[in-house]
Amino acid sequence: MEMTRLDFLKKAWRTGLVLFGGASFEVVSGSALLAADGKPSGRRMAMAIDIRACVKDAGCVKCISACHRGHNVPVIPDAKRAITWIWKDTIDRAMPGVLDPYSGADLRGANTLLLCNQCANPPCVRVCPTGATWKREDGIVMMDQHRCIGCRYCMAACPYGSRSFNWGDPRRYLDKGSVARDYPTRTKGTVEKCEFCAERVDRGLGPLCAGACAEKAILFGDLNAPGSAVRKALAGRIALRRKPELGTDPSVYYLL
Amino acid sequence: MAGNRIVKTAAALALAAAIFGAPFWWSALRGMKQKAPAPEKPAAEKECVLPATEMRAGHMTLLFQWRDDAVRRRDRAPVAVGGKKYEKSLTGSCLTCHVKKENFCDRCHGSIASAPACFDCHIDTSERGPWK
Repeated sequence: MEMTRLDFLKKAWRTGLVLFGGASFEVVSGSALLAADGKPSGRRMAMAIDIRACVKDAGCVKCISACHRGHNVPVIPDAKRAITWIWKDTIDRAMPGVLDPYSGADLRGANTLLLCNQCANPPCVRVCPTGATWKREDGIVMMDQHRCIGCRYCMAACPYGSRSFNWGDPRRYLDKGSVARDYPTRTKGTVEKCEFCAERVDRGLGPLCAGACAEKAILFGDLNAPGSAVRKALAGRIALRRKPELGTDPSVYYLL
Repeated sequence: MAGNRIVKTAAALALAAAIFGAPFWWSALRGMKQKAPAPEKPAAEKECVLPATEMRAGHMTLLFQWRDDAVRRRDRAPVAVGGKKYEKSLTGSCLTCHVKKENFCDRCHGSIASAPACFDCHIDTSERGPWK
């Protein structure tokens, strides 16, 4: 019998399903972090921000300037083109609906710190067409500037607005004399964000923001290690995460 | 007038060869004047990560490997060559000996009009002042 066009399409579809179906399911389930017994196989770097310690000094930007100086993040006056790795915004805007008019009067209108949430289930990684952003085995959502093509899918996917795009050459806003020489700048047409100081974590150090905070409001550690600073803080206090209902499973906690 | 026609054809062919072959003979003539690029060698160091011939031919492969090791494979373990340890870093290792990119990288890359994008982001540690 001669094969009709419809038969051919049906066969091609079934063959494709057999050949590639299994592989795509594995990508979707994203269970690389779990060992065969379902337990976490490695570290998961996480941050706990003590909101009350942070609001003590409303004008403090030590963590922000330490991060931005250490990573050569330019200060661009045009807010639409600004690059931010870590920034401040009101608690009400960061976590809408959390504050009510009667409780926690000291937190109303106060700012908290915002940065990449290093999600365990990162939507930005799902959509990146070049593998320029991916999740490391210690949970850090990393950027490879060498591979970024500037399509900005990740920026559309991120529900936290944690990513910035270089609309122009960021070096126009930096000075050769004052940049951090051991850290690269970025270039026009790439996306950047906080990477939990991955280059420092690999050397056994903590993030720059945590080190710069005089109030010790930023705790950093392994969420899978019961003895870590983050786990101890989470055990003793109520903590919130931004938009947990989306299922992104953020690794940044806000201690109340 | 057969002879005249042959002369005319030959002249036309010669002219065509001169015009269409211009890219070849023009660069051949220029090449005779041009000297081979002379990248500046480090004053103190005599050894590199690989022998000079291999570095000349494959430095880009080595750099790509270091890049992928450090950024993607989380393997930042230093490379030990002849009792010396090299960090897998363009600015942290290469530029500590080859101090000026302008006097080393650019000499060859410039002469063959190759413009890799390394220093669009990585910082030439010898430079000062605002970027162009």
